[in-house]
Amino acid sequence: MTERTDAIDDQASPPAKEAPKARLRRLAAKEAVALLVALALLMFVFSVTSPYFLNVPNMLNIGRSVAIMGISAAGVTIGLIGGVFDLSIAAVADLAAVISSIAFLNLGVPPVLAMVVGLCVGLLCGLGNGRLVTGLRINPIIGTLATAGIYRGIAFLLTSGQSHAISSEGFRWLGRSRPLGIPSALIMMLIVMAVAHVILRYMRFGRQTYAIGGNPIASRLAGINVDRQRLYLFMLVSFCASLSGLVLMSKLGTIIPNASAGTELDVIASAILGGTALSGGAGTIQGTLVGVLILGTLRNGLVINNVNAYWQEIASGVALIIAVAIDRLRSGGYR
Amino acid sequence: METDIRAHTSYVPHSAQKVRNVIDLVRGKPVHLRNPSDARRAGIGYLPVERKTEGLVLPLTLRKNITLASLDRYARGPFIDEKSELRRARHWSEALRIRAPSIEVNIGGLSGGNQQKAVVARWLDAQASILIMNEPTRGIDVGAKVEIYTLMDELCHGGVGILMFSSEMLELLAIANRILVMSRGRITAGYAHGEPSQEDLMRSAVA
Repeated sequence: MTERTDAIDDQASPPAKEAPKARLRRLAAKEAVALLVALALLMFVFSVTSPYFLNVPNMLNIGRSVAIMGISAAGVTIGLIGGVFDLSIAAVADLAAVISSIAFLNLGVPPVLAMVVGLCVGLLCGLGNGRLVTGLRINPIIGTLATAGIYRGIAFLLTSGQSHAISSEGFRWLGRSRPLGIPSALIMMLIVMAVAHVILRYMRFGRQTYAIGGNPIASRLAGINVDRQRLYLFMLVSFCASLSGLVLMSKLGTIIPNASAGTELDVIASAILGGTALSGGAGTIQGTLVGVLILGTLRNGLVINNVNAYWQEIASGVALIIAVAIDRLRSGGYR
Repeated sequence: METDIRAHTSYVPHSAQKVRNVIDLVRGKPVHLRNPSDARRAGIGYLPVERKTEGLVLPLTLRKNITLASLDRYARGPFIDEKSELRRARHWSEALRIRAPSIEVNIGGLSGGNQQKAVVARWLDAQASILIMNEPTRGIDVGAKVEIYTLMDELCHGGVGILMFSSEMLELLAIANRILVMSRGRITAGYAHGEPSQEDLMRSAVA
């Protein structure tokens, strides 16, 4: 990689250049295996420590809680690959759910339409985030931290901080029904992830996302409209977040203005744990799926083993640190 | 950058007809060059000085770096036609003699000269007819430099206009059809190939 090797490389022995790539690939393969082993290990530990862990209802339970995280994480993965960091996802999820529930409860909008309203709220929040970051050139972490406060404040204002029950069946199919015995939320997550995978792998939008995340300056000089792409990415991240908020509301059967608060930690951690580069330009949806499963299993296992809820918060923080540390190791010496 | 292009277009060497058309377009409607996308559409490609930070997308493969500026051509609706993309990338890789074990290697693993050729390939694939090369041989070893010069020569003969910025006098004297010397943001002298001596260039550069 250094310039001094040019002469040797240029003259002969192209196979010599394969070494770094093969090494990277081996490392990546090892990491994927390590993640799956970690997941298996977690499941093993929890099945030993608790008799309530390894059974079908609990597995479906994990599936359902993982699903809500996974829907958000799919968007976050695409965002991070494109170098778009969004801390407002939890606030967006809650605001979308709150406005959707108001449309339904107070304005008499039919359930399905109320959900569409919620998704539109998500898109608008993303538009706000995107305009802020690309237009005013505000640092995305600070910008979305600020909008998170704004969105959450609006959610509280609209509900006066109160929770409301939503008893309508029309609202509950999204998070509580079980076609073929599979929780609908899980199906929703698989659909979202499949779409996200197709976008990243086969679509031009995905290719440009990898490009602007990998090197925004080079991408701009190559004629890609980086700001526009970032704006779309913010909207996509918020859209997925709002969908996860709606599924959560539907699952709970209640609208709680801070139901998702704090989940952004887990969502971002699962994407990074699954191999998405914090610096952008790399990552896959499959990886995120495994990351989500690991964190979901961890949370569920702690609950089942009667671990104090506060410890779960600590576990989330530790998981995020571990994920980021792995990310550093991965990119170490690369840039 | 926009000002630079306009300042220099009338002096671009080897103005083959194709090139001249684009220059007229650029000169006729200068407001249309608001950003690099506009320049790309006008047929102008840019090779930055800082190859690694401004030219290459390091996490991506050679193929994806070559086709970065020409994704329009491979778009089938919202999808990328990877088969024709791969075919074109291979074509350029062979035409420019890029030495890589495969078209799917990470661009970061290639040598400086081959990375530079990949950026040139990107603009050829985008059908650029004017290439603006900013210090194209910086950080490249001697053997690869010669290859880059040969490539530039071939491109010129193929009808591509090249505007090269360089602070290396010898390479300018050797390969440029015309040399414009700038000092403090202004053009202070213009020479044809073989006309100036190193002393002339230095004098104009400090004028």
